[in-house]
Amino acid sequence: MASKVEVPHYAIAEASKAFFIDMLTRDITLEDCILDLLDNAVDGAKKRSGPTHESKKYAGTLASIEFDEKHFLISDNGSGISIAEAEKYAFRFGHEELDKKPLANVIGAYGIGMKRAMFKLGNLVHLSTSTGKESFVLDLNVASWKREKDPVWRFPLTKVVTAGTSVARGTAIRIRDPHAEISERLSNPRFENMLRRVIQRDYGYILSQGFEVTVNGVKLKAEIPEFRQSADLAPGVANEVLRKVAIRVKAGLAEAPPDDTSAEAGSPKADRWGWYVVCNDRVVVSGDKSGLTGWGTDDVPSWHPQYNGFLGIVEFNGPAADLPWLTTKRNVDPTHPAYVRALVKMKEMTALFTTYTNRRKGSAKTAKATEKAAPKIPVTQFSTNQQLKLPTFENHRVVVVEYRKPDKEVKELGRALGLVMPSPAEVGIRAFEYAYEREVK
Amino acid sequence: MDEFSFEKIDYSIRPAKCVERRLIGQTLSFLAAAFPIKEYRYVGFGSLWFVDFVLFHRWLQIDKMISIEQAAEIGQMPKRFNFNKPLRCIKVLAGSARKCLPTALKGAQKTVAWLDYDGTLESALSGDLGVTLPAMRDGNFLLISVNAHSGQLKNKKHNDESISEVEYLETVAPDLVPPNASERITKKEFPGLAIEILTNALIARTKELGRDLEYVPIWTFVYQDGAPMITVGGVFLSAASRAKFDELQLFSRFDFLSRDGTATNIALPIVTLREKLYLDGLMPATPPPRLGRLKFEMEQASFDAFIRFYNYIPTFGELAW
Repeated sequence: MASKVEVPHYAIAEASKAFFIDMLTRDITLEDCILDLLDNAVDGAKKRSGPTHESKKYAGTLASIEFDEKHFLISDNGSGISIAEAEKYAFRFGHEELDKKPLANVIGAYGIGMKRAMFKLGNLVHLSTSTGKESFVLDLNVASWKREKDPVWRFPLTKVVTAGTSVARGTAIRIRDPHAEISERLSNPRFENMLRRVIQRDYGYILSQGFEVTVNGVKLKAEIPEFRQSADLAPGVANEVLRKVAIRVKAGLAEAPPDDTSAEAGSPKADRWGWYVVCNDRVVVSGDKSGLTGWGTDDVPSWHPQYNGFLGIVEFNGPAADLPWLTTKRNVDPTHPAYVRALVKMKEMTALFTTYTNRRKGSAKTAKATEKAAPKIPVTQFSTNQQLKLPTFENHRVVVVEYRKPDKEVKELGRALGLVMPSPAEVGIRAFEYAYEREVK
Repeated sequence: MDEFSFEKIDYSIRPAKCVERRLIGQTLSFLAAAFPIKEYRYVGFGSLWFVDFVLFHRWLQIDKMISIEQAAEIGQMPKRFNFNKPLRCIKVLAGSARKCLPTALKGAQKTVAWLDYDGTLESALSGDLGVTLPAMRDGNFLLISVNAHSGQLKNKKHNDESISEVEYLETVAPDLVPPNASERITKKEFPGLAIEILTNALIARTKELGRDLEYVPIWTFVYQDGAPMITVGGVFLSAASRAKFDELQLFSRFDFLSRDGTATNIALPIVTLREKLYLDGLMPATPPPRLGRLKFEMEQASFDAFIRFYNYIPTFGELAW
């Protein structure tokens, strides 16, 4: 009796190029793509030999970003991409190397940043790079490449020079024929300013250590936040090491908390207060006021405008793969052991600060004077352990003054006092102070 | 404002403003070739003199007109404004701009809106634009005039601390302040900076509406009948209408309009009636006569200004009633 031969069946599990590109670019914003490209420039800098003194770690590294609604160009003078790197893994989706050895202290660890950025921005990609010895060019027409049926995914390299190249060291990526929604954003007058602001904030440390970035010809300035410190108040600093990760938690007062904490209070600088999470010098989370950094959990109250002026920074340094950031590099994994450990200290310091803001209400004027008198010191200057210190006061009785007035009169008085888009409560406070100064003092 | 500006300035005799009004009227007249301007509605702040209303009705045959006036509210002086209406087709809406604009701009009716504020950049950017822009449709025109005196930036405070002029601008116009702003807050440079911020605000916020609509700048004027003022204006166009608009080649037709937003400074020479009539008699002239050949002394800048605007310069006379 003949036995039936089993015909094997297969379900096709191939990824189509179109699907892959869609998945890759789907959840990342244009800004984050641009920052990914900037990360590559920063990593290129780290590989160079040069000054390693902390304050000038990135000196000599330049990156330039230029764009309008029709094109985008980012160029740097970093170490470039070697031919071997290009052939084997720079353009693979996921570094093979990552499985073998951890990349030491770099930002662009996951390797997909460059490809993701290229596909997100537009259709015609031109990459030109040089290590000082080798150089090549890669030209990609994404639409054509998608249509090719070649089962091996690869990009041809041209103008390959294997030794003694005359092309200057660095990498330049130019994208033309941007996608419609990208072009729309690039042509919005706000985009340029917003991009500068985001880079200055998220690369603050790196910019202050010598990295130079220009956006459409304008050189960016490093913005390092500052803590106030005096005999009466000082930020807390706590250091710890968990396996290969160095953790440093710092928190304290950067600005005097506001007098006006009503719901309509305008707070133009509000987005700079809260917690910052920094991984290998790169700001991953900024001005966080959510449960992610402990607000509203256990003894820590939820964020409230009365905490404006609070600044907290948690720094993680170590091999990129061991840090608690997510692949987008714009968020942390709150379950990561290093982060869990840091969070304990973060919450402790936050709770001390929030209690203080309640305590100071009884002596708001004195408190404010003490706080403003304390000099500002860049956060980068705090590295050794110290206790969080906040002023103490005698308790004064405070009462709430509340009254109604015609909207028009409140606005007129606000203008006359020189206030910018004030809430009604702020006008009330200033009016009281104005009268008190003249009639009582 | 404690007083109303019409109680301080007689709007019917501001020469530069008058020229500006005529330049705008001329532009709209030309655009009537591609846009059905006479079917449009005109929305403005007519005050007691309604000069722009009269001009646009006469030149453009617009007969749906709305004037918004805060002082016309009950308890202020509604009768005075209605008494002074020069035309039957004008409706006066009493209330603040923010309150009345949604009604004034209601529906699909195509509109020319000229928000001629006396106030600051802050008053234009906060609130009123938020109410005006969503009401804009394909083919609508919008003009905004504001005070461009750099004094409006000073002495601003937040949380009892002084903030710098640039910080103040960034509060009022987030992400719209160019990086070199700190060098441009002088009396001379501020009008240019205010123009840039206002134009960028219009472009950006129109994009952010998420519709097939783009703001295309047309008018950019700086003038001074007292305080320095700026007027910025343009048209909202869908992609299809944009093509039709470009075909008109508007910017090559008028030298007082510039595609790239370069401001036209409406600075008028002060001349007597006799001088004006004499100079008119020399026009048009290419090339223009040399200063030395004129029958009286005149500055080159004044003469150049005269040649530029001679067709629009008003003459004010005293009538013996």
